[in-house]
Amino acid sequence: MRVLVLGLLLLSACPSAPEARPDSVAGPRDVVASEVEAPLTPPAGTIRPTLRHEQLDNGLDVYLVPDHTSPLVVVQVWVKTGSRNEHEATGGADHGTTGLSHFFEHLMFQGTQRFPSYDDALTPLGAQNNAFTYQDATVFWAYTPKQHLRLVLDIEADRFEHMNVDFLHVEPERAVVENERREHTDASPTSLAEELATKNAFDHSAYRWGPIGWMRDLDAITLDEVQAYHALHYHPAGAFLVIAGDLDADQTMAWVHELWGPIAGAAHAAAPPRPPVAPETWQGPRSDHVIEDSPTTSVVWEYRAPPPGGTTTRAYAALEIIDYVLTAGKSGRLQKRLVYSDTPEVSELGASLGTLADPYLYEWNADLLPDATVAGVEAALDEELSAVAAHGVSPDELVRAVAGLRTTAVQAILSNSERAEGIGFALVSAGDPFAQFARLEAYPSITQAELQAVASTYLVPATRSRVAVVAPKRLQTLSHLWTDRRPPAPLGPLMNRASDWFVSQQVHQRSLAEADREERAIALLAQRADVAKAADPSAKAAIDKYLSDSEAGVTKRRARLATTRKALALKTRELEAQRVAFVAQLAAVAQTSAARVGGPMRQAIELLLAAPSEGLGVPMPPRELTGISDDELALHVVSAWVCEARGLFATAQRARAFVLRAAAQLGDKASPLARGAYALAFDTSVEGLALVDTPSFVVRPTRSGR
Amino acid sequence: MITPLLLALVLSAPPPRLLDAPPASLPHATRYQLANGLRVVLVPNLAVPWLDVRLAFRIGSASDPDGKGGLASMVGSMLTSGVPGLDEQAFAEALARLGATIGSDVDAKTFTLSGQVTTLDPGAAPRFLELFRAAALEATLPEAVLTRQKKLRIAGIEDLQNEPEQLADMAVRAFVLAGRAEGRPTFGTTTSTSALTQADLVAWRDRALIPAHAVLVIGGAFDEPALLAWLNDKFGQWTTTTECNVTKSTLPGQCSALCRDGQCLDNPTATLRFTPASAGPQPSVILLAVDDPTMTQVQWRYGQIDPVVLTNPDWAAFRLATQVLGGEFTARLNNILRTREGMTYGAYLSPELGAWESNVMSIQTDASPAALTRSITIGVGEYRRIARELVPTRELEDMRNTLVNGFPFRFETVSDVVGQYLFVELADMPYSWLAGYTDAIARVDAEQLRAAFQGAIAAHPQWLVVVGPATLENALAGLNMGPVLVVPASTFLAQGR
Repeated sequence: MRVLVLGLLLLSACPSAPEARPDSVAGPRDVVASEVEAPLTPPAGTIRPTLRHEQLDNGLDVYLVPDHTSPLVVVQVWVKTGSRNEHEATGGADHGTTGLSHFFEHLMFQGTQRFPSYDDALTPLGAQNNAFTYQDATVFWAYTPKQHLRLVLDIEADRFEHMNVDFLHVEPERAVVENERREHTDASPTSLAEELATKNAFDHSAYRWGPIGWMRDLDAITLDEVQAYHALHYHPAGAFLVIAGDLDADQTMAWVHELWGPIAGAAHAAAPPRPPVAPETWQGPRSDHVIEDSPTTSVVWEYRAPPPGGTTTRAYAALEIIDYVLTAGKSGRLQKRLVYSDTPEVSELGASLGTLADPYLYEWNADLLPDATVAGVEAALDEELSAVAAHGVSPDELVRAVAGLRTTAVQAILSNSERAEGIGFALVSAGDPFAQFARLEAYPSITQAELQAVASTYLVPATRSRVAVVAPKRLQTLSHLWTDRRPPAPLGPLMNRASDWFVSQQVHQRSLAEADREERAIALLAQRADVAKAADPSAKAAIDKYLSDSEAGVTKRRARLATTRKALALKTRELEAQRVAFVAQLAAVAQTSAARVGGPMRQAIELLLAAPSEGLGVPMPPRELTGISDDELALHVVSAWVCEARGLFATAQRARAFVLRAAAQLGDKASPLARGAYALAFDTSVEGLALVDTPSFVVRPTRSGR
Repeated sequence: MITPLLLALVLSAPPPRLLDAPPASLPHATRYQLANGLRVVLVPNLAVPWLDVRLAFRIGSASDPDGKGGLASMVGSMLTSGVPGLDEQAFAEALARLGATIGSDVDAKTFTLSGQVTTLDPGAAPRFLELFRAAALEATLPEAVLTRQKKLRIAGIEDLQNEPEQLADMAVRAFVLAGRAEGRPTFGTTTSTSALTQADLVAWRDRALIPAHAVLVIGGAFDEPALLAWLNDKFGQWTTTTECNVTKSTLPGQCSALCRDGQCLDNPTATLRFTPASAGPQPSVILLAVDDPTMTQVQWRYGQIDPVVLTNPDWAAFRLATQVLGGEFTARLNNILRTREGMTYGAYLSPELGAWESNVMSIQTDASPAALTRSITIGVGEYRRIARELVPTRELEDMRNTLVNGFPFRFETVSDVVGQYLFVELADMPYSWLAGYTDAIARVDAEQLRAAFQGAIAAHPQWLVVVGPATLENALAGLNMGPVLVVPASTFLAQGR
C-alpha cells in the first residue's frame, strides 16, 4: 500500500524516534475536520469479497469466498426452509407444525451412523459450530481451522443426508426446544409482546408466527411429521453452501463435488416452491396487550416493510436510511427526543428491519420510564415518522445515515462467518449474493422523494400493530386509586382485597392451564412411545428406559405433575374459601350500610369475585356519556379486565372503548380516578386520547398459539 | 525568531520508547511507552478498512466510594456526553458523520473506552481519533446529562427484574465476594445511583483516568509511524498531577499495583495459596425472590471465589478442569443437564481467569421450577466429581484439543487481536504467556487437573443463588445445602447485598 505524506515534520526532528521508514514523513498538525490532509490510514480497496459460484448436477449451489487473513474456514449450509414452510392447526386438526423447522435444526445435531456424535466429531478439532433458523431458511455452520475443511464438509454432507431421526433422538431434543421457548420467549414480557404484535400484523401469512413455534404444536409434532419434513426440504436443490476463509478454491470445489455431489436430488426435481405470502391489506392501527409481571411498561410496534429484493430494493434502502436517521446513536431523531433529552420518556429505544424474502416488518420497541405514557411515546413516534413523510431528511442526516450504513457493511466483512452470512441472507432475500453491496452503492443516490414515499406508504398508523406489556398490578393500583378517597368508601377495603384476589386467581388459572398442557404433552409422549415401540420392537427397552429414567420422560414428569396438581388443588380450595368469605363480607357490608354502598363499586367487586363457573352479570355501558361518574368509569375498566380474563373479548373491547370515549369527553375535567382508570388498567393515557380518538381495536383472535 | 517549526519542536512531546514485541508465533504488534507513562500497542492489519481503538485503565468499579456504587460506570457512560466545543448532540453528530462509534465497558477492575471506525474514507481516522482523544481526556461530564443518565440507569436497574439471567450473575458475584468492593454491581444500585453528583464524577475521572494507569491498543489499517507520531503528539502531553493509586494484594505473586517500577509485590514462585474461608455460620443458599409466580424457567448459579490467577503455575490445569466441567457444548454440565436430561437450554461453568484475586466462577443454568432441585443436585454433583475422580483419557484429550486447536480463533479479526493484547496488558502478563498458552494446556495431565480443581474448591465456600418466586424456599431448604436466605430482588437492586 502506498504510504501518504502527512504534513508537518514534528517527529522527524526527534533523534530517538522509532526508525522511520524511508518514504514516510511523520507528524501531523492538529487535525480538524476542515484541515484533514493526508490520512493516517492507507486508501482502502473494495470491500466486496471475491466469490466463486458453481452448481452441482444435483442442484446444490456452492459459493466460495477465499480469504487468507487467518487460517480458518467456515462452512455454512443454507437450507431454504424455515417457519414460513410450517402451518398452524386448521380444521379439526389437533396441532399444527409451527416450530418444526427450528426443532429439526436441533435434530440435525443428533449424529449419524458414520458420526454418531456430531459435536464429538467436531469439537476436538477446535472447531466451533451452531445453527439458526428464521422465517425463510435454516442455516448450519461449522467454523474450523483450515486443515480440517475436508472432514467438516464430509460431516456436513453426511448429516444432511443421513440424519438419525428416531424416537430416542427426537424426544430429548423436544424438551430442549421447549426449554428454549420458555427461557427466551415465555420468560420475557417483551418477547411475548413482540410475538403477539407480529401475529396481529399478519392475517394471511406464515410469517405470523416465529421460528420458535407455539408450545401446543411443539408438544405434539410427531416422528412422521419430522421425517416427512426432512424428505421434503433437505435435498440439494433446496440448499446452498457458502464456504469462506483460508481455502484453496479448486481443491475445495473438488471436495464438494466428491462429498456433496452424490447426494441424490431424485425425490424432487427442484426445490419445493416457496409458500406464497399474500400481501397484507388490513387497515389499522391495531392495538393489543399482554398481561405479564414487569416493572417496566414495554411496547412493541410493528410496521409493514418492503423486502430488500426485487422491485423494492430502493424502497428498502430508503427505509434503512430512515431507520438510521431516527434511531442511530444519540443523534437519531427519536433517540434524541425520547431518550437523550432533558425530559426522557424512554429508557431504551430500539428498532430493527427484517431481511426476509417477502414483505415483513419494521419493528420498534421501547421501555417506558415510569411517568411516560404509551400514547405519548406513540405520538412522538407518529410525529417523527410524519415529519419524514412530509419533509424527508436533512442533508447532514443523509450523510450520517450513509456513513453509518457503510460502517455496517464493513463490519459485515470483518470475519469469515459474517461475510458468509451476509452472502447467504442476500441470496435468500434477494437472489443476489451481493445485494447488500448493491444497496451500499445505491444509498448516496436515494432521493428525498423516495424517502418521503417510503415513509408515507409504510410508516403510518394504518399499517401498524402495537402491543404493550401491562402488569397485572395495574388492576390493584386502580383499585387503590378508587378506594383511596375521602370519605373512605365502606366497600373500599373489600374492593382492594377483591382485586388482589382476582390477580391471584388469574395467576392460578395460568398455573392450571400449564398443568393441563403438561398433562396433554405427557399423554402425547406416551402415545408416540407406543408407536415407536410398535414400529421397532428392538428399541423397546431403550425407549422404556428413557421414559422411566429421563427427567423429560413420562415417569418423572407424571410424578412432578401429580405433586403440582396436589398443590394446585390446595390453592384452588384456598382461593375458593377466600372468595366465599369475601362474598359473605360483601353481603354483610351491604346490609349494614345499604344507603352508602355505591352501586358501581359493589358491581365491580361482584364481577371480580364471580366464581369461574358462573356467568357474569356484565354491566353494559350506557349510550350517553354525559353525567358519567368516576365510579362508573372505574367499574367498566374492571369489567373489561374481568371479561378479557374470561375470554369475553368482544365485551371487553366494548367496555374499553366506552371508557376511552368517556375519558376523552371529560378531557381536562377528568378526575385523577378517571385519568388513571384507563391508563393504569390498559395501555394508553387520557392525555393522549385526542390523537387516537377513534381507535380501531382488534377483535382478539383465539389464543391458540399461547 | 521563533518559527512555528521551532516552536513546535520545542513544545513537542519526547519520542516514544520502543518496548518489546510479541514473538513471531503471535500476530504482529509493537509496544511503546510514551513519556507520560502511557503504554501504546499498535497492531497493524491492512486486510480490512477498519480501525479498532481501546484505551483501558487498570481501575474499575471496585474503586467506587462507599455509597457511590456505579460511579466508574457512570463516568464511562458520560465520556461521550460532551467535550469542549461540542455538546452531547454535536459530539454524537460528529461521530455519526464518520460512521464511527465510541463506547465504554467497565467491570470491577478495568475501565475501557473503545471506538471503531471504517477507514474507507481516508480522512475519517484522524477526525475520529481526535474525537476519541477528546472524550477520553477532556469530557465535560455535564450535570444536566448526569440527571438524565441517573434516571435512565435507575430504570434499567429496576428492569433487571425482567432479566433473571443478569440478575443471577450479579447476585452470585455479590454474595460470593461479600464484603469486597469487587462484589458490588458495576452499575451500582438504585440508591447509590441516586446519590451520584457531578463533583463525584469529575473527582473520580481526574484521579483514576490517568496515563500511569492506562494502556492504548489500536488495531487495523493504519500507517504505523504516522499513527505513532500522531499519538505521541496528542496523547503524549496528557499529564496529571494525581498520584497513581496503588493497592496491595494479599495473594503472593499477584501484582495488583496500578503503577510500575518497583511498586509490585514480588513473588514469582507462587503456588496455590488461598485466603482462608470466613469463619462463622453463613447462609450459602440465596433465593433472590422475584414477584412472578408464573415463572417458567428459574435461573440458578453455584459458585465461589476463583482463587487461581494467571501467575499461578497451576493455571493451565485449572483452566482445563473448568473446560471439562462446563466450557463447551459437549462439556459435562451441558451434556447431562441439556442433552441427556432435557432440563435446560444450556448449562456452563464460567471461570474468570485473570490477574485478580477477586474472580468468581459459577455454574450457569436454569430449570423449570418443578425440576429445579434435581437440576441443582446433578450440577453440584458434577462440580464435586471433577475434584474427586480422574478425568478419563479420551475426555481429557478432547477437551484439551478444544483449547489447543481452537487457539487460532482468538486472533481471527483485528478486533480479536486487539482484545487479546489488551487482556495481556491489563493482566500484566508477558507476551510469552500468550504464546505459550497451548503448550501449557497440552502439558496438563489428569492428576494435575484433579489436584488443581480440588485445591480450588477446598479453599473457598460455594454459594447457591437462585432467582425465582419465593415459593421455592421450601424446596431449596430440602436440598440441605445450608440455610436459605430469601432476598427480594427489588431490595437487592435498591441496596445491594
